[in-house]
Amino acid sequence: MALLCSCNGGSGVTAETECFKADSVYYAKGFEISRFDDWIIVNVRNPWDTLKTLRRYVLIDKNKPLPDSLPEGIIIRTPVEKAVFYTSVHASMVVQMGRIDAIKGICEIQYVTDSLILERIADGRIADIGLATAPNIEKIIELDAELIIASPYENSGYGAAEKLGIPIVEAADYMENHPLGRTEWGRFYALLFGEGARADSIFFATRDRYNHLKNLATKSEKRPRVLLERKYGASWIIPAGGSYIGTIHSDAGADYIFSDFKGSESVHQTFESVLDRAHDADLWLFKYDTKHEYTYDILKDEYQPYSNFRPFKERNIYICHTTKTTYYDDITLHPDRLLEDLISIYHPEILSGYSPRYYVKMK
Amino acid sequence: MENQITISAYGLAIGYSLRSGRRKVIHNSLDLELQSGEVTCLLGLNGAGKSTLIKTLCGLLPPLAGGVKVFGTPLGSYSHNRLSTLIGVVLTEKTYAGGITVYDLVSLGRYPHTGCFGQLKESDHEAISRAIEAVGITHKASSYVSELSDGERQKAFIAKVLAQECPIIILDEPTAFLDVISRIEIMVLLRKLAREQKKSILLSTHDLDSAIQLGDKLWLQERGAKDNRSSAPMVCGTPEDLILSGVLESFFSKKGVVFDSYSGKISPVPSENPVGVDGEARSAFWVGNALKRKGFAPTAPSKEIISVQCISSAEFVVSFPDGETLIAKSIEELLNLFTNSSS
Amino acid sequence: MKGRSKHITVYICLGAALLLLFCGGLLYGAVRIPIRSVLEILAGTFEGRQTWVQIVMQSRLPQTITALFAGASLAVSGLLLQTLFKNPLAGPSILGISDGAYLGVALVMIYFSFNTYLSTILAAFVGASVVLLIIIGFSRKVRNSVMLLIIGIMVGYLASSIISILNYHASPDKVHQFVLWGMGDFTGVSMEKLPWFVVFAAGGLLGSIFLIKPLNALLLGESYAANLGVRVKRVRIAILLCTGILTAATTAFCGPISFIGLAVPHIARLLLGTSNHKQLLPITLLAGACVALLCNMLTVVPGSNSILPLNAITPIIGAPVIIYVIVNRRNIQYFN
Repeated sequence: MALLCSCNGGSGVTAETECFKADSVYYAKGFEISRFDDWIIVNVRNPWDTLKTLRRYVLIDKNKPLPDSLPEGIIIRTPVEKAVFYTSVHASMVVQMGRIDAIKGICEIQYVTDSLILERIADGRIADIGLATAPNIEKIIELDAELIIASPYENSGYGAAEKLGIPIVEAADYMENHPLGRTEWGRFYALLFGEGARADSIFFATRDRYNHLKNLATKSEKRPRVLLERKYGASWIIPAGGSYIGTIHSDAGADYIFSDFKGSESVHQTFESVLDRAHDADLWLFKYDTKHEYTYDILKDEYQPYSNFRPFKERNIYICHTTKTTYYDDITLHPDRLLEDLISIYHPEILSGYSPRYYVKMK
Repeated sequence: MENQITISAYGLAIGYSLRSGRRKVIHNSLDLELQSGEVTCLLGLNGAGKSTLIKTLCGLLPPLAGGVKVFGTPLGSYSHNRLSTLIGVVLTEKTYAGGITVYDLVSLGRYPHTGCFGQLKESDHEAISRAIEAVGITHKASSYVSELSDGERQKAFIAKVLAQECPIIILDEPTAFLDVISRIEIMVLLRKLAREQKKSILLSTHDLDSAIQLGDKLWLQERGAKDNRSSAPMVCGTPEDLILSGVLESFFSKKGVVFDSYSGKISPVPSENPVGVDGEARSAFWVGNALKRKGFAPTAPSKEIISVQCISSAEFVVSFPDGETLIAKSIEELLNLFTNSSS
Repeated sequence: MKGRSKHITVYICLGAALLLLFCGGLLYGAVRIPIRSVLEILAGTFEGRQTWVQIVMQSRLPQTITALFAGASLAVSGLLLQTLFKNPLAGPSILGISDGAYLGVALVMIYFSFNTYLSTILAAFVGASVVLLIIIGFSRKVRNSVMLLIIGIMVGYLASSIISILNYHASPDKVHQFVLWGMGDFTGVSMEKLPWFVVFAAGGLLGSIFLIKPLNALLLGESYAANLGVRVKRVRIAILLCTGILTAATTAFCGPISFIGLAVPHIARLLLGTSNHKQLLPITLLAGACVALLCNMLTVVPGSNSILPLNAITPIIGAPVIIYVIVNRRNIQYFN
């Protein structure tokens, strides 16, 4: 989607003739980058109504003077040197591009797994901003933050933070359905910190690795039938075929049993529907985050009819602890690693000698 | 059979314990005896503590001092179940029984006599039917309590206590909502129970007429003294003794009220305006009633005051001090003469 | 007596409805299984898909039995409270007992991060029992039943506020799990756990039957009841214990379920006409079971992939009943 237009050279370059070039965004559907002479415009699309724009950000270099006529949008002077992050995942992305110094504050530090960030939290270089739903506004002011990066929710504002006058970047990466789409948002964030090129190269590396693994997996003839997640209360929450989970499992070369559920919204199914349809699955994977590790006994104790599934009987269940592993960070930063994990389960012959990072076989 | 003392209280102090540990004493040292075979009427003005006394005597409120004995044994030493077969009550409290039928309500009176699921035997059914018939609401036995008039509801509760078949029945203003006829019916019924079944019956009432006529004993309860100092004791006795000794009169001698020990009626304080009344006894009585209402005081006739001679119930001769005489054909006419002459 | 024949009719109709709905629970579900097959499965002569046998015997059967006992328990619990507090709007949730269970589960799920089956059940029981003991303790000191009701409501609010705080600080995952638990669910009790639930529910229900006599006396108010020989304080504690066990067990095994305890006693009274607990209690029991079975069936929307949460369906049945009762209260005998 690269568009080039010729710029008038020499004299006669007037204010009206602005040069722009749109960046190629390969997987992410939620944002667009357009480069102009004096600024970069990033349009973040409304994830709940994809025809509308949620926000428009105008990135202007700090070293250049502010142009006279500004386009509509939230002005951000780049590169940002002091930023506050509502989610640790975005902070990790910034660490990846080498700008940990720009991280001044993070919300909910109990979910941070990155050791470098943890180090800085311990010695006070990165502040704890409190809950993402109710951040410590005074702290943000005290830090003299230039930017806030937060995850948007439908129809919800940011409360007192909006009145600070600090630009808030609405990071809607979690709404992306394609794994690489989420990672690609890093290219947008990188522009804020002046590391566009670096982020691009990291992204391309990840993309290439992901696609390479995907090709390996989809070449294999057999595609194991896979069941995901568990029953919570009265419903078994089934991820849809077009969702992140559905996509990554299919990309790993599995036949996800419910991939015919279109779209990206999860579906609440009764236990009996799932049993009827998936009782003879080859493999069963689920995530959990309790203090105790799951075993076949515990699973059976939780709900005895689970033992009717073939993966239970044949001991082919794999489990992933979401907070003891870096699962949540990595699904955004390194989907290729998760893909690798899944491939090692679905097609163990492809990756020999690989030790799993997230999913282990249940005891 | 000789009458026995069913409930007795000596040195009884009644009142409430308040939260702060203090006590509100309504009466300080009461000596009371209730006899079987008698109807005792408890009289007293509002606020005198009738309800408190009733609740204390039937065990619903603890006494602040002294004790209550039932058939000679202290009330507290009876088991709950035994006591419920001895004393039955009718109270003025709000209940939530609107949704059950009259029959079901009355059958609750059999509670102390039935087993743990409340199964009713033949004898229970008979007792219930008898009780319903005795108060005269048999035609309403299948109706819901909420569908009854106030009077019928009162009767239903009285029927319930009858079905309880206790030797002692205590009622708190049982005739309050009843019309004149029902009032008499109930009093007659209570009398009958006292006389024929030797029950002891205590009821508080405002109905002075019925109390004087049908009560074997009256208990006059004075308003409790303020500040917990000792109050005037209660006065007990037969109605006639209390009237003739002037106790009843002084009991009711509050501002603007007087008890007439001749007629047995309470009336406003008579004015000083004397009018002589004489003649046929029955008419004279009622002329006096009318004159009192108009603010005159009927008395023996004399020449100095206006006098009325009752020839018959339709002929009255009014003589004025100045010698003039007028004739009225009815009491209304008579009264008009008075108002005209005084204006 | 014309009243008695009406009562017998109600018994027969409800009994038939119960049977029908119980069968419905076995025959109807998200997976279409032919009636004949279900019957064969129950008889043990079915030769087809094993998953169908598992569905009927391990999912639908325990689910239906659970719904039956849960509905009966909640309805009777509500009736007991409505009579004790002489308040037609009382229900098991009003005394804070189910809030206590809720709080117990919240603490264990969110704060301590435990999610085994046993831990959830125990937590709910302990939470409910703690609140129950507090209420019973107050009931010895507080003479007035209205005061007790208010204390119960306040305790419930306190529990709710602690739950809010826990939710606030919890990760979205945990909150989600907890919210799902709060939706109410009859499917969580498998056949092997079912006897536990049935024992507690049956115990509470049996206890309540022994309370029929004093409950009737309490309709007259506590003074009259005392005069009839009722040990009012003891009966109050007995009622609270029964209610507590029934509510705690149901909340522990099925999560908090709204409206059944509140609305079904009214349905029973409207059907019967009388407030006499000799008929009212058993009919409430039956009606509660029927309503719960119906709601359970309604969670599965025919033709759709999805299911509805139980607590979204119970108000659909319960709220109109309450509104009807309030609007028509002048004409309803037990309100006057």
